[in-house]
Amino acid sequence: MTDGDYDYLIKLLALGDSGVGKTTFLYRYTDNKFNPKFITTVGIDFREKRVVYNNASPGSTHGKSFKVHLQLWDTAGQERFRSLTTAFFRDAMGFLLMFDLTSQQSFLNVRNWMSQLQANAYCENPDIVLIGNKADLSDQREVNERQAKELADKYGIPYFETSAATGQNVEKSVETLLDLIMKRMEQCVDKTQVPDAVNGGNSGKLEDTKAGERKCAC
Amino acid sequence: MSKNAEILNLSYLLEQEREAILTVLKRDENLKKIEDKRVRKLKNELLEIKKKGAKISRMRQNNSKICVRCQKKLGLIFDRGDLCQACQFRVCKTCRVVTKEGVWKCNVCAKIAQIRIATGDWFFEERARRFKNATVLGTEVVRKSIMRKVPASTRIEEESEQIGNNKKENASVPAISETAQAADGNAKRPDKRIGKLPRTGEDAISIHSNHDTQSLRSVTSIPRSERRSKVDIHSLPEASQADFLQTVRDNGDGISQASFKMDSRPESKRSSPVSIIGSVHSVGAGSISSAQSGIRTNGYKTSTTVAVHQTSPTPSKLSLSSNYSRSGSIASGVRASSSIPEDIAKGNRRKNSGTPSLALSRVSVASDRSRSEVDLSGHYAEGKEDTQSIRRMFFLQEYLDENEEDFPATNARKTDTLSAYSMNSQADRKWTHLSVPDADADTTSLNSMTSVYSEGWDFDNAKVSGELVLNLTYSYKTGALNVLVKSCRNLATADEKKNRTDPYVKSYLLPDKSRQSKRKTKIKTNTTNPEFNEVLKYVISHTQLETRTLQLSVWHNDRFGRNSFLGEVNVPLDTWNFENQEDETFTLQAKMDMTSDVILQYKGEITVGLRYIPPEKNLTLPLEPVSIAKKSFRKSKKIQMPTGGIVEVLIKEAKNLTAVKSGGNSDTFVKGYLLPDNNKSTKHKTPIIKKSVNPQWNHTFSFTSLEPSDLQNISLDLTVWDKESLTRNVFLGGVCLNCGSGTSYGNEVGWMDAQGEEQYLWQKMMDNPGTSVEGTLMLRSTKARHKKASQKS
Repeated sequence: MTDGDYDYLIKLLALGDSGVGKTTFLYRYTDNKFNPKFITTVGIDFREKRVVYNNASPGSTHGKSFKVHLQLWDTAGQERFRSLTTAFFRDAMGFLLMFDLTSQQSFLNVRNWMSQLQANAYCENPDIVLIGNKADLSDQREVNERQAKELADKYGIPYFETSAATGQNVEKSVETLLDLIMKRMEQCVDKTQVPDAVNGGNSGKLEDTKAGERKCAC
Repeated sequence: MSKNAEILNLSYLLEQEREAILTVLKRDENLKKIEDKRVRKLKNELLEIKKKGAKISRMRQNNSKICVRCQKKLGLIFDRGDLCQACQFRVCKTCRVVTKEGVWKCNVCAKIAQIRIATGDWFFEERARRFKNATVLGTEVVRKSIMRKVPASTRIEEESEQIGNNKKENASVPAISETAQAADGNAKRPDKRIGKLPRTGEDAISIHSNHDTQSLRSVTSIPRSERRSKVDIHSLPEASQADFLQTVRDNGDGISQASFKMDSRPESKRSSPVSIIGSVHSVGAGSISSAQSGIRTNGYKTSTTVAVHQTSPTPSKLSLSSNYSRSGSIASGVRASSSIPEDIAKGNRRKNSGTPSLALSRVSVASDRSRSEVDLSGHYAEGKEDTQSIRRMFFLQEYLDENEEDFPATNARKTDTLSAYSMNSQADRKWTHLSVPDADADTTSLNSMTSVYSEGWDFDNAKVSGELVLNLTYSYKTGALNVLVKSCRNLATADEKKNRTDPYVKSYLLPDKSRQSKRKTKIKTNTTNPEFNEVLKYVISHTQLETRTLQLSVWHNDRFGRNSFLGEVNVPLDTWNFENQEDETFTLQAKMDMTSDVILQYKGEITVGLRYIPPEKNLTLPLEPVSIAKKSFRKSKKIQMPTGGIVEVLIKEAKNLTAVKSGGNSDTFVKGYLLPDNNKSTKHKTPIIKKSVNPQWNHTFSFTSLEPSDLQNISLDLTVWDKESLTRNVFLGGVCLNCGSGTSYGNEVGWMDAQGEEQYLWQKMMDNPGTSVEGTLMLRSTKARHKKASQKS
């Protein structure tokens, strides 16, 4: 049973084609275990993990650490659950968009997932990381890194090649996403606080405010 | 909220898939529970901070040489202080938090930002910006969509109506929209369980007479109109007398008097519609009592005699006249628990042997409620708006409810209301008798607040012992909290003389202390170890439940005397583990002081935009044609004084309001007016947004003829209400916008008490004429200041 002893509740959501390994990826992340069996997710599920986030990056709030409770939504990749799963998009603060490095088709579908996200997420450019999973199966690989990287760059999002089987990059990718979200939170607050507390178009707009505006143009 | 569009077609799901998804959603609900609790805590913290930030902000930044945060004197050369980028107040070095290289905020602003991150508000705000009307969580949509499929046979047309709800519930739904069917709806109601929200009829007749007044009601509509004319006869001279009786009141009041005199005449000529107008006052006992007090204080013997002859609806008439006749000083005097003008105090003491203290202590509650009553009365209240007298009336009403608790549904209560009334109006005017007509047959007291508020009543000598055995469960299917009251053990003996205890258990789902939240078990006779095994059911969403505390009190039902308190138990539901299916035994406690935590409470927040258009700019605005403006009373005011500045108030939205209706909803509206304003000519209301605790009104109020200098002296009062059709509207919270100076036009007044954000926003508006300023304000949970307000005015 979780308690309320945390500073932030961050909701992430994994999406992507059926069988790309969303459930196993999250299982690896939360429990650090690997389950090679394929059990299709019924509609929706979630896992939780408590992490400590160190705000070490320069420029952000003094090097404080926060207890973050992660709620990681796992969606069914199957088409038939689509209407159900997209309903959950709007509740998530960040997205793990996954494809299978051994399936060209799953990679091609990333575009579709992106447009789904843009249509249903809380804002038009939410924080997303692109994840090519099953990196351990190098002999079956169908998507090369350059291709995927290019796509990620096009969207302006980070890209990781992960393996739920070996654990490669699993934590790193989630942490990167978390980092993006934490930054956005501050920007959003900075952005709104100025007009909120004292409206009326005062001077002293802050630099980070502008950054925030660029980022959350939603 | 466009919930209609939000139901997904999930019919393709297989049974076990549905089950699986619901299990996931339930897990999510648990997590949300924890999160909500955490957020509430943070919001309360925020409220505290803003409060603290209040005093300070009285001082304007530039000319003061004091740090607004710590009050430290700032130096002329060293530590001169600097303006916080977020709030523009001057703060010293120690009261800053550096967020980035060289960028800082004052500690209050930093904390506010911090909390907005921690609560996830940043996210919801962003999302709200994108999906204008999708404030509902996706999980909630899915849950509803899935639940919707379950009982395929009982299809519910109302989308947001929870599927699991009783059919009873549904039965009342059509009646809500159709005023004309009010009577029909009422006819159904007695079949329903007690305590169900009586939400029938928009402008429903006889808001309070929840007792078996069907017959009464049917009679009401037509006969009242005849009586109305009599009322008028009374009211006119009385009103003028009231003018004399009145102690010093503001000029505005004279106008109000005049206006209601004028108003009452046309009303009397109307036929059946009048019944609606007057309906608020068919409060039976409530109005009678006020009528009586009117009699008492002003000596209108004539009214009394009328009462004897009239049938039950009459009291409404009486109350009108007595309201008119009552002077402001009396009304407000009683409301102020501390200072009671001699005359009224005497009056009360004379009649209520030994109990006035109680009555007085509860006044504030009454006055809160009464205001909503005014709404219900619609036009009627609009015109006369002698709120003080109306309030006074409700104060009495409350008082009666109090008594009701002491004289519960014994057979005596069921006495024909008619005889009861005539009894009252005869010589014997003891309060206790007054309570009789008000007592409903089903013992659902109208607004019996005894257990919550009346400290020092008969709790003083309460003997409390023993325990209460409960089993609390929450059904996700029906969306209901089921409180199984199993038994009590070793209760104290209530009536020692007769060695008798007839216990029953009463419950409230705090903080809702209204009748809607009240449930009772049956009365068990002569036992200190009663076995109830009764389920008290509350239909409420699980998330809302987190904000509630279940209060169970055990009472001894005395047929002839007062009910006595035998102990209570308060169960905060935010920490309750509903997984646990076992019975829980609670030790009964003596009366707890609930007031402290009721006062400071997160009631949600409201977003408003303010704009002051100064007179010189206003002149360029096209004047509205008089013909159109004449249609409404308020607008005609505008025409009278087309010059002067305008304060535009955009009521945007509110969030996290308290849900008072079943299914976790409220039908909300905002009321706003300017103080000082005794005749309420400045009163505005938004339309009602149904079934939402996160309503978006986007409605603008305009207050006219305001010179820049007026802004320093007026106060904008905004209150959020839940619209109830048959009971008083429920107060959900309010804000007060002014410059927080404590004085208005040279008079010291209690209502110029804006704090923190409230005051910033007002100040900001004053400083930026012509530009609109927007802010999100925490709703205050009390309206205590209104007492002061009306007292002073």
